[in-house]
Amino acid sequence: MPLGNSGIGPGLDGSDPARQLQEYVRRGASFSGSESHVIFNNEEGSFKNVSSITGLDSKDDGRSVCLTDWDLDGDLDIWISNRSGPQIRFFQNSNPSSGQGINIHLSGKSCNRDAIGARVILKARDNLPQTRTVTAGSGFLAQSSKTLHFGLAKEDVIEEIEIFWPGNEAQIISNVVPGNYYIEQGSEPIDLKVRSKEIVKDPSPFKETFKDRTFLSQRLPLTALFERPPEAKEKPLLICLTVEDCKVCAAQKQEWKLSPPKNVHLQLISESNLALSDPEKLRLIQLTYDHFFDISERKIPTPISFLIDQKNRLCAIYRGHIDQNVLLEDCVNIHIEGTQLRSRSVPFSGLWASKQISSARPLNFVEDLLDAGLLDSAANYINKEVNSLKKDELFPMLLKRLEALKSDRSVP
Amino acid sequence: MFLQSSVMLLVALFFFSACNKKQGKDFDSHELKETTLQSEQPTIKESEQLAAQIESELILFAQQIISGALPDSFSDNEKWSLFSNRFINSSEQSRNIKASVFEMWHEKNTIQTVARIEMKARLNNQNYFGLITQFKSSWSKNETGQLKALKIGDPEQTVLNESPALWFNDETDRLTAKEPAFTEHLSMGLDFWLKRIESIHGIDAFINNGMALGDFDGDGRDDIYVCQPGGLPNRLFLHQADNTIKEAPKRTGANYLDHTSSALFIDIDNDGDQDLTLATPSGIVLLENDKHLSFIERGILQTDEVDCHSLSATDFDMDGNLDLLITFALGSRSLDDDSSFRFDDARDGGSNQLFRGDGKWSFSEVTALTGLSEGNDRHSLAASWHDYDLDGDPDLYIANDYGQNQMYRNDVREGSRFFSEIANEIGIEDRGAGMSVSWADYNRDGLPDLYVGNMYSNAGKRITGLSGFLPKNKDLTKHYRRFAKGNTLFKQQKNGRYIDSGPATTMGRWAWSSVFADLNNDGWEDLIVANGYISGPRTDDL
Repeated sequence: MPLGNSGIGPGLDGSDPARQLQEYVRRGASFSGSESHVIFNNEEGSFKNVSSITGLDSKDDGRSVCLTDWDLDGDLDIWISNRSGPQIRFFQNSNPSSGQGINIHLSGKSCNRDAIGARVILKARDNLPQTRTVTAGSGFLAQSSKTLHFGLAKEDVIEEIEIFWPGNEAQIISNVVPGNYYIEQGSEPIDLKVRSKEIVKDPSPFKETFKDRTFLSQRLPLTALFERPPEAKEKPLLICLTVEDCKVCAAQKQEWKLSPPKNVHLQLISESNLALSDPEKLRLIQLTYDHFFDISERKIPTPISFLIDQKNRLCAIYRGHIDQNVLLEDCVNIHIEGTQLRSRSVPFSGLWASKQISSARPLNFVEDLLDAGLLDSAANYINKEVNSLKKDELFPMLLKRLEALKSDRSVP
Repeated sequence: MFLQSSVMLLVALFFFSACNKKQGKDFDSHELKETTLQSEQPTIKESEQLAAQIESELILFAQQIISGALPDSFSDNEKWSLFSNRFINSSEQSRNIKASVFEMWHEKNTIQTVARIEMKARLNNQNYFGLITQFKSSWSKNETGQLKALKIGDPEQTVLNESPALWFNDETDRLTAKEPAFTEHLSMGLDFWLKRIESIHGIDAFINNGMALGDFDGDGRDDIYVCQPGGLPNRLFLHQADNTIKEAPKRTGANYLDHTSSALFIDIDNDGDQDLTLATPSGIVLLENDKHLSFIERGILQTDEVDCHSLSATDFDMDGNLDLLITFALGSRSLDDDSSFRFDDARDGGSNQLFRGDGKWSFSEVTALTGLSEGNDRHSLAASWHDYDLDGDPDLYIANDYGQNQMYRNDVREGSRFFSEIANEIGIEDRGAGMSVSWADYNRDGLPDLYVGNMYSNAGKRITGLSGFLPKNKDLTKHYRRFAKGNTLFKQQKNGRYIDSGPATTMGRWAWSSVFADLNNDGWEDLIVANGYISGPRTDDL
């Protein structure tokens, strides 16, 4: 199944609850949002909600929780990944009543080297045993440290530590005091810090800054929306929507007045004028903007600019002020394809495991128009772009849906 | 349709409101003439608006308590006055209040509720103080729609906490401030990127991405790998000597742009360094650590489905080579026909897959061979391996959205490893919206216990408690109520069966990762529950 909105085909109407939900969230609604994290303190086997004194008050829609004694000071610290920014948070343990702790990192010899599955029992004098197991993957989408941590009540004196290596004889270790240890199967513990060594860090770490524009990986035919003026000749079109009372818009216009953008034919559109003269077109611009993304903005951000190539296909969307150099570069690259296009279409560089992305479907754009009730615009779009649309196997279904909606509308 | 996991409740809400319309006859015709009350049965929407109104009223009430301005009618009430006194001279800025109505029903012309208020503040003695209390209240609404509190009952089940210091400090800024991968990328949330990256790259509003810790550079300190949705690079941060983080150099080859649900640092080739595996829609990416701060891609294990979630490693056959399990939520067969989708027992999920490690970077797909194909059609969000019966080999628990969970016992049958599904047999099927799995011996009796993360929803509890809710199907109602109940702590008994250890740890809220950890070094493993589903820019929340 394709990821993202390309999976929504024709035939689903608004009554489907899952679709309604999706639309609801896509329009920016919250759903069990802004909840704080919860901590239950284990008081000798029974639990008490202590969230109010834990300081885990961030409300970023937490997902994974990874535990580790990050600073090796004897207590567990927390990394949490989030849906909202910042996408990772670090909480350092500062528990005032902390006893001591012991960290044990195991290394297998006749079992797997990570000792995943090894169970360790710590016995302290006059106290119940504690058990930990080396695990890779637990909680939700998370891997905590493979170094095992045991908390020790203040009066605890460790009698022995028993290690059940997976598929092997157990090993007993005595005479241990709180600290950080590395234990190789069959050997005595050594100080974990002994293995610490300074790594020569990269002298020139890679640094990329984010530019607020989307160079599209899927070019959308837009003849139906923007006519190519004859004076544009062989240049790409840059259509910029501005509003009054917007500093960035004013600055951008001023900048272009002094030095018009090279290599493109610029068209400035005032939102307020368009709202009066052709409100449906304004709506279409909003829908075009929202089409590519899984979440829609309630109001189109301004200034917003569309770069349209010589074949009248939308190639890039710019939010806010446009960096001249970025625009110049985009124009040079306006016809790139394949992997080059793919890497240009994401904000940061990286590697892909998948060989390619699924192909763009202009048909989905028509679906968006139908969802918005813009039947005439949809019919017009189909008319203008029929050649590219009819390649899609779902095209007959799309036509059926359009006809059905039209006849619905004609019923009083 | 691409509907990511755990949107069950809201889907259910819409589903029910649709039911209300469709089943209007159930609601209206039968008892309509006998009593006017039935006809006044509010719709879910009206009822939810009422709950929101009551919550606002309770917040006002809580503000009076926390500021010491208890209403006259409560001045003789020992319990509420006692609470109010605790907050005397607390710092005003530090005061924080939350009110939630989680049960609501209509009785004669009144509205009855059970609600919880949570209050916290920094006290005069500089201690941090918080209280959570639960109480009944009754309300009436006059003709103009004005709400009036008839009675606010005494506090029940109160939890008080006071501490000279908070248990944790948020040190994110200190650790990440100089790191461009953080400031330019991770400091922004998913909603920011959703508006900037085409969904076709594999990024959507419901996507979830995990995180892994492991010592990649072999300096004895855990490093951190952050998974990202499609179109954004995963980030590997190296743990510096001063405990800050710095992104690994680009040549390391860790910045995959595919949607990565989860990752694991494990030593696949048993050569003493941490390799990396990634769960992506294209399969499980295997990356070998070359000991010189770089990864070499050693292939991709092709999977049958694309909606990948949890990745976990074990050595189930004890041959010394690590094996990999990947879970899937949606299946490619799913949602062809929405009407047949069962929120309480969905069987159209993606099949999870087990890959046996055979050494030298070779893996065999052994899902069917090992019996894991039994019941392998659920929406599996999380899985964790643990030797629950202490027989020396790892068993597997899988948490499923929209239905019951699974426990696979690792057996030897005719000389080969075979998994038997025993969740019902030992009492841990935990039918609900399962999202996370954590094992520990929390009561220190030597027997492994289990904590399962599920959705807790005040709205869900309120709605499923309404008398008009699915009136014809009491069994189904019970299941739906279960869905909003929250987390479950299962205690293992001596006979190997588990019992639900009660309500003390259920209210984890939305509850994604719900895990055991001894956070205060007293030798007893506590529970931490990460929360919040989607905080959109709009304020109206269901």
